[in-house]
Amino acid sequence: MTNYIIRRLLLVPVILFGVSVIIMGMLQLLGPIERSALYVKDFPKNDRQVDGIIKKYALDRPFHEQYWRWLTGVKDPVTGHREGGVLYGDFGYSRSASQPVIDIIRTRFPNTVELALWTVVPMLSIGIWLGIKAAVYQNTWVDQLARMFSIVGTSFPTFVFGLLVLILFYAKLGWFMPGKMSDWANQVVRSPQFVNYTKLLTIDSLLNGRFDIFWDALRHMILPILTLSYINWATYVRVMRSSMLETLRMDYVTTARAKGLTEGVVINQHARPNAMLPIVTMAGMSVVGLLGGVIITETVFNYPGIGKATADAAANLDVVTTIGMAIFSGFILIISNLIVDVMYAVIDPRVRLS
Amino acid sequence: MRKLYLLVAVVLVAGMALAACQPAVEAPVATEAPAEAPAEAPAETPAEAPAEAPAEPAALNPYIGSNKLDGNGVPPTFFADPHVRKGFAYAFDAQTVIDEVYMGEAIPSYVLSLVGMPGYDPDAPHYEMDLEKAAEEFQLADVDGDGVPAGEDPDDIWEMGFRLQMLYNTGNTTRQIYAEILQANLAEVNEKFVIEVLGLPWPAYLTAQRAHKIPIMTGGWLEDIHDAHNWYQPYTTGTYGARQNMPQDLKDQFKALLDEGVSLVDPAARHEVYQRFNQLYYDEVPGVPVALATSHGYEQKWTTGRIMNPIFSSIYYRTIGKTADAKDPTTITTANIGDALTLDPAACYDTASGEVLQNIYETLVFYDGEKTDEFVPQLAEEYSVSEDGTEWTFKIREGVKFHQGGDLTPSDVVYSFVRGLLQGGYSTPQWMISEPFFGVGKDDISMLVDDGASADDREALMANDPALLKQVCEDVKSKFTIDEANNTVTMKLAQSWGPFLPTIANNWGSIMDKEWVIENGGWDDSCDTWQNFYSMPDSENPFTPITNGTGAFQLDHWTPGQEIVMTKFADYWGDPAKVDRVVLKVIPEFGTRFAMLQAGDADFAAVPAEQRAQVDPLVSEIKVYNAETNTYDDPKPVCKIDTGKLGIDRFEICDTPNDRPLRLLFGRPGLTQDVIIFNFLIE
Repeated sequence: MTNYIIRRLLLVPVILFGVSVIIMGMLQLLGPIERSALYVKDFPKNDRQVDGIIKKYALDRPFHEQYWRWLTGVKDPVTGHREGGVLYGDFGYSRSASQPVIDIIRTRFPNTVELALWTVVPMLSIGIWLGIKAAVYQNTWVDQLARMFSIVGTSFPTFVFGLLVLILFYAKLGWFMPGKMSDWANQVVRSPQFVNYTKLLTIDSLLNGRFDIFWDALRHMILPILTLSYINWATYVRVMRSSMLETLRMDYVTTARAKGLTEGVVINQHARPNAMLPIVTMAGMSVVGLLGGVIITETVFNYPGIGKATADAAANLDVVTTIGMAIFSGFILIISNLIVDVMYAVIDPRVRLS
Repeated sequence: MRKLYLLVAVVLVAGMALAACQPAVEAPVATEAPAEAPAEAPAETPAEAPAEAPAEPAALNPYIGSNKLDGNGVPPTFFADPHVRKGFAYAFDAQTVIDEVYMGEAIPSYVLSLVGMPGYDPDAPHYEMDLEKAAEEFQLADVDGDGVPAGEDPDDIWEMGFRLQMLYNTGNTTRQIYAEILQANLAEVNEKFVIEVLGLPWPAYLTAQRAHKIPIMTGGWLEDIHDAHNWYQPYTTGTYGARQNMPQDLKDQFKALLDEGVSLVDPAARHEVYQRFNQLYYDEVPGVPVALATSHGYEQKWTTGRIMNPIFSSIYYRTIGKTADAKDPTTITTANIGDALTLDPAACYDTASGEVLQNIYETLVFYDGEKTDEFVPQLAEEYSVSEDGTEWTFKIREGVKFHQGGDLTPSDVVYSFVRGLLQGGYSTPQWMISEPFFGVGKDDISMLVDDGASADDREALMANDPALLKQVCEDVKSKFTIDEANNTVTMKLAQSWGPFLPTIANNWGSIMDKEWVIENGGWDDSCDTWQNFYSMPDSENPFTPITNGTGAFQLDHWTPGQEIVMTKFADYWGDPAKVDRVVLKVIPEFGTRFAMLQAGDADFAAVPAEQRAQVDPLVSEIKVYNAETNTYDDPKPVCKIDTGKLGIDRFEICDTPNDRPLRLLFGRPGLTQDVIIFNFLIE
């Protein structure tokens, strides 16, 4: 197992290199004039402005020069001070976000993690529970209802459901709000008395003893959690249902019943763990997807995660940010996939990692 | 390990293949597969690649069909014929634009300047849709240049027809509609006249414009200074004139009028000059002005005191208060679409940043209420101009404090102006200040150093002779004199400049604290080091994220991409702000902004024109703009809203108040205009 993990980890820099080369290569398909459009907010007032921008950001040098410049930065011949250079930890400055790329990641990734953590539980638990119920009561009204409920969910485009939920629970009822936290909570969090241990607001607020902020943060997160979960339930219900149906037909289940065990024990301790295996893979993929940033949900609910930052950068042709975020997402995805694979082996003793 | 090599090789090949597709590189790329360490081996390309793809002489312009006059395209000189341009002008239907796009909320544009400016004349000669006259003009045209008008020439456009593409930038449905109107009307004039409507993503649109490839397009302009010069210049000798390949002799005629107009101070005299300009523009018709949208601004009813001056960058918060029944009476929240880019007044050239700066920094003079052309003293208590119009003297107000504790002195004023001029840069608004101080056409400090050879290129600028650089700096400094005894600053311009006050009243005329700027890494006021700060990019500029102004609000924090929060400045010299906090939130999604308006969490929100029908039903009372008093009338309750109707008819005004949440400010002509422009020589 250790061997396997080490080999997988060794591949990480290779894959990241490949990702960066491919993305930078694709962006080179645009000419320097087109890429200069990034640095101009409105139509340029002078044609000289565009020339100046091309010179300033070296947009017309050959590909390998641009790539090397990105990788190692530019050394000022006079002062010896190096500026930039991914290998030195400087991912560059994001024009579209008006801050260094590293700062975008640092401030926004914890929010994405928080949302992912809080979404996983309802998403999985309700999806699995509904799937089991649908399988156990196959072809009864419970089954039909569960499947209908989830098909409706998966048919809804995210932004439609998101906006509906926003209008109902926020504009009309006022129970839950978009964003991350209210203005009064923001003032407390920014004050020196509040200590950010983990950068995850819900956990930090509890650690600081501020239950009101914890509740406020939850109220802001419930709508995106609901949206993300509902969209995914259908998939979980269907897979769990079919997996469960298959498992229930297995011989060992019949054996278990024959031994005289109660139905509950049969389902929960014998059938369910085996039926869950495909779910583990899917859950891993879902978590990986959540950690990559959920752009539409973040946009509708104005939640400051990395998905929206990446989408904004891509829409503005912000080469530097797009690559930086792609590298980071790639890194997260690779690590998450590794964890999922390892967990698969841990859960199911039958699986051998090659 | 074999799989590793395979993976690496695939990745490298893919990357190099993509790199080889880059337009700048000509020869195919030679690759070198690595023997071991996979993390290196960048792609090998030939030694030098040209900066831009070499022009292929035989390449056809894709936007003008066959590029010939054969019924399936147009020749490059198509629009050089004034009859063709007039034909198009008569085929355009501005009224449909006003009704369909702006829902009746626009006034037609007849001239380049705006209401209230010299040159604005509602009776000016202009083109209205007249398909018969259009047909006549096309028949008089002589595109193949053989001396026979098209009406009688079987080889000319009337018999052959033509085909060309009219472009717009994707997402801009307004410009798309202009193109579709021309398409439909020209087809009606002569079914052989084919216009295809094509949308390009903005970067490609910009590239094609720059390359003079677009035959006909819409050029929009949002004014920087509320002055006629800022309208007449871009469409003739400025940006758009260049994009149109306007012939030099025509440009010269316009330039003569521009120079005359800008040097006069008396509005009546300028009006006469610009009327001659209007006539020339009408006769030669290089472009067709479209329409001027009027205001349609929403606010929560519990807000009071908003000054709706169209030249403001969004909202000026000092005068705005909230009544006690507001959801949060001490904080104003605005839901904006975009985030600020930089908080350095010398570099800021966009509305979102401008909104923050106009509340945190102050200028020598400021707009008088809602007027765009009358000014009141702000940081300058009094001001005067010399007889010949070249010297302006400002008496600086005493007792004004900066947010971080300094005091306002005349040296701060001089430093702010000089710093801006020396920092220069074409992506900044400094060109507007450079021209009055250096002369028309000298729109950047690099013009004084090496005639613009080092424009926007700091390294090239620094490579100049140090003595020359020092001299240029001293020259700039010498234009400003301080009289300590009287606390005044005198500025010497290169020529008389009619719109000088409007030029310095906007954000780029903000006054910064010299000592604070130097402390925080800014230019140290020495003529030996100014070149190090030339054309500073936002990423290096220490003043992108920090501020220290004299305004009624100070910056609390800026979380990029999310919000900017300003708090009330307790030691403000004038009437203090009415609320404690202003929160500007960045919310690109309209649905979310709308939900915030409904919930009462946003006091102001950006509503694009196409979404107005959704928000109008929430309007409780309306303030209508009155052209005679040049301000809005008192609010009146609205009983019924019929979103099917156009313009003011949508709102049925009555007497009984109601409890809907919003107030609407309606009908003030705005400051952006679209002009359809023709390319005289399509390349």
